[in-house]
Amino acid sequence: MKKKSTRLSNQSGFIVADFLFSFVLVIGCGVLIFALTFSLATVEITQYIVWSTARNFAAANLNEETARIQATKKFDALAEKFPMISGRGSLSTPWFTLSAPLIGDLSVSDVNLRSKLGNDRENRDSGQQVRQPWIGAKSDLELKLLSGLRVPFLGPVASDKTEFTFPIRAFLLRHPSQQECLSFFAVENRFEKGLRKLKSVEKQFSDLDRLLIPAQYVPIEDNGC
Amino acid sequence: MTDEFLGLKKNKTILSFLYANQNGQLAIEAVLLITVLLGVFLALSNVAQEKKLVQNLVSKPIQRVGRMAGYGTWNEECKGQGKSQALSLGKCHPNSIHRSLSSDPQ
Repeated sequence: MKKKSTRLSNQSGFIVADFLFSFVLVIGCGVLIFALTFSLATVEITQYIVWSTARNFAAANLNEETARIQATKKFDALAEKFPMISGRGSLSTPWFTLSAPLIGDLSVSDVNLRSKLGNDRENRDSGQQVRQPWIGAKSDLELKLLSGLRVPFLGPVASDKTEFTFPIRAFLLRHPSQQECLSFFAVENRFEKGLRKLKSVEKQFSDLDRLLIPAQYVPIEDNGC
Repeated sequence: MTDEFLGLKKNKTILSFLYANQNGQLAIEAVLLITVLLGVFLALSNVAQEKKLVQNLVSKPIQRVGRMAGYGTWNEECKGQGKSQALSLGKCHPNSIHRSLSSDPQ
């Protein structure tokens, strides 16, 4: 019997081609899913960092500037603890970057937010009381891990890389500072602008000026300031 | 008795060695199959790239997450509950709801 050609009659090597093909596809999809889930987890952590920053700014302090310094310190401390996200420190990677925070009234300092608020940022009642203070913190997160990814045979993940940079904001009303509290109880404010102008006080006491003499008005010491 | 071959006549042409046996047929068919399958695969991957399959799979969810993180909404734009009726992304945020910070809810 004629000997068959060994090159074509066996299946050796077929598995190698099959394996290489499936390996490239599976690894490609696996990398994509890893990058997506890792990025979503990163968003959660970043949200915590920004929220903590806003919370430090919200807590009552000596004055607004001190609260801002305190909030910035908190942001820096947390950013140092997550170098992979913030891109800080020696362990930093180019996977994510977190911009420096904006802290305070974001309807004024955050140009992007301001442009999308329309007239709402000026939304005041008849007494010119601000109804919608957009006070808090904001930082921009860039997902470089996803935007730079390219899946074999399926092309790049990002058609527009700017879509993978977005702001993360946290809004918390700031508590009155000690400086503002003392100012509120000061004679020129609470007495002159408040007590003195009350209609009920004016009706009840005809000799209001004699009774409520500014010099005799003393803010109580235990007023919570 | 005759010496005539009643089945297939033996071909005595010069190219008879080409079809004297079936050796090589597998190789030719394998090449054809690989060409067809590779072509189909490349065409499919081309369609996937043109239709931006991966981009849509990743970009759109990420944009929605970005809107939630930045503006507190899944929507692309909203009509505010205040005086202005214009559509804007900023008005989707819960802070834009008129009653949320008002002592006189409307």
